[in-house]
Amino acid sequence: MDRLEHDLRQLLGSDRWALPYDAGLVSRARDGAARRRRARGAGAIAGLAVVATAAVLVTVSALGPAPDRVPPPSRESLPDPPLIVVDGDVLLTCGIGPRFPASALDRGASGPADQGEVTAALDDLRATAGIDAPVELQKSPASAARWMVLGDDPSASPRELLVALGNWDVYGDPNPAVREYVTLERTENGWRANRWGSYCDLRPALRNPISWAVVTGVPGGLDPNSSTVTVEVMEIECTSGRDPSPFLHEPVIVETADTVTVYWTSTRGGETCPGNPSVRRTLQLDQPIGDRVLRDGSHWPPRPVTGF
Amino acid sequence: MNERADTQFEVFVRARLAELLRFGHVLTGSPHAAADLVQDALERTLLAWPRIQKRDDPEGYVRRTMINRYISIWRRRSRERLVAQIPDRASGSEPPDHSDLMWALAQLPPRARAVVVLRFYQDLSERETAAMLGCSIGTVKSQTARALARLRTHLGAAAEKGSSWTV
Repeated sequence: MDRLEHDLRQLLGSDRWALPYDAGLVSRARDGAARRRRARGAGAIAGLAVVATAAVLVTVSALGPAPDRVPPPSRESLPDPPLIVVDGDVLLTCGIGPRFPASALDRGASGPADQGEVTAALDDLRATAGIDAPVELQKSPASAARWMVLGDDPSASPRELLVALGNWDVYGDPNPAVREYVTLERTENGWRANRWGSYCDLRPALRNPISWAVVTGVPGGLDPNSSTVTVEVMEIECTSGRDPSPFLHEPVIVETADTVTVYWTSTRGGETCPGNPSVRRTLQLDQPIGDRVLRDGSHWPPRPVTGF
Repeated sequence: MNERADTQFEVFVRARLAELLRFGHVLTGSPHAAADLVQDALERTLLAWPRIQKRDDPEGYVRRTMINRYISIWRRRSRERLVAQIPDRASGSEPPDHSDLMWALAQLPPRARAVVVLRFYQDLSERETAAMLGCSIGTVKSQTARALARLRTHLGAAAEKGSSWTV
């Protein structure tokens, strides 16, 4: 056994991967199974209805609700700090590769990257990675695939591009299962893919040494008549499993008529990843929360907090 | 599902949940993704329980479901992406244990990572891994070799940044 295999076994077998028993998970699994059972039953009944009354069903589906699009947060609601806002455009990140303005999601990065060279690099990745290549490139060569350069950092060494693959419908599907990307680095011979993945966890970029904490849930639920909200907060970077209490900053809370968005950050530290503890904190709002949506601002777009 | 089968499912989950969560964590690199993956797999297992419990290995069914979901659609969570930055270290400081290998592991695509986990965490043979992934033994061999080669490449990049891991 060589050293790599030995270290792999040691790493994968270490206690850092242990997670606490979660009885709530089993309850949620039962609820989920019950929903799937009901959906299957409803599907069978709908199938019979299609056979019996096809015209009615077509009408029903036409009247059904379209997927809700999440509007991009308005410029006025973007707090800087902790966000980095330049000319009203917030900087975003996938966690790797160059940062990019949110406007690039609509029209791509403005920059001198040669489209022909980028296409060649993507085709090279498609040829060399085979079944491990991004799915979008497995389906089509780069000339026919959907892709867009989001980020270009000419000042980085080596220079890097961040390329989105497929249709990143960020505001139509803010919580997708797949959001493929590739980072390309500049070489003497053009661009070369150095990293790729199936999911860009899109978040607003932060200034060093700040990192995101995330609101993971609201124990006890929301009281519409109350202006205080107790939440669970957890750091998301590798912090060696520290108690986050000394490192959490005061949250920035942005309230609108429809939403309450919490931007919570902490001071970066620690490197190992045994899993991070959460802590409870109480938010003080300007008004009772009412029926407004509580959102976590560490995602882009901000994401409703669903853990109650 | 009758009450007896329901009780048997409950007993199974109580006995194996911690290990399934750990397996999910090793697979995804994220506690939250692990919990989501396990919950999703348990939902599917519960729906198929009357059929599954007759087999010898219901846990194998759950793990296969987790792997299939992870490879097909699972999202990478933020922690894994943030670890993808090679940790900076002050000169002269001792590196944390296996941090470069953690980073390199986080760079692997889902299928490659699944092969590594099955071979080096679960310690499955090539034949057992092939059965779990639903592919040939030859495919497992080549995917294992490619995954290890990728890890060495990424570790080499980390070495260039001044870490202690040498290829």
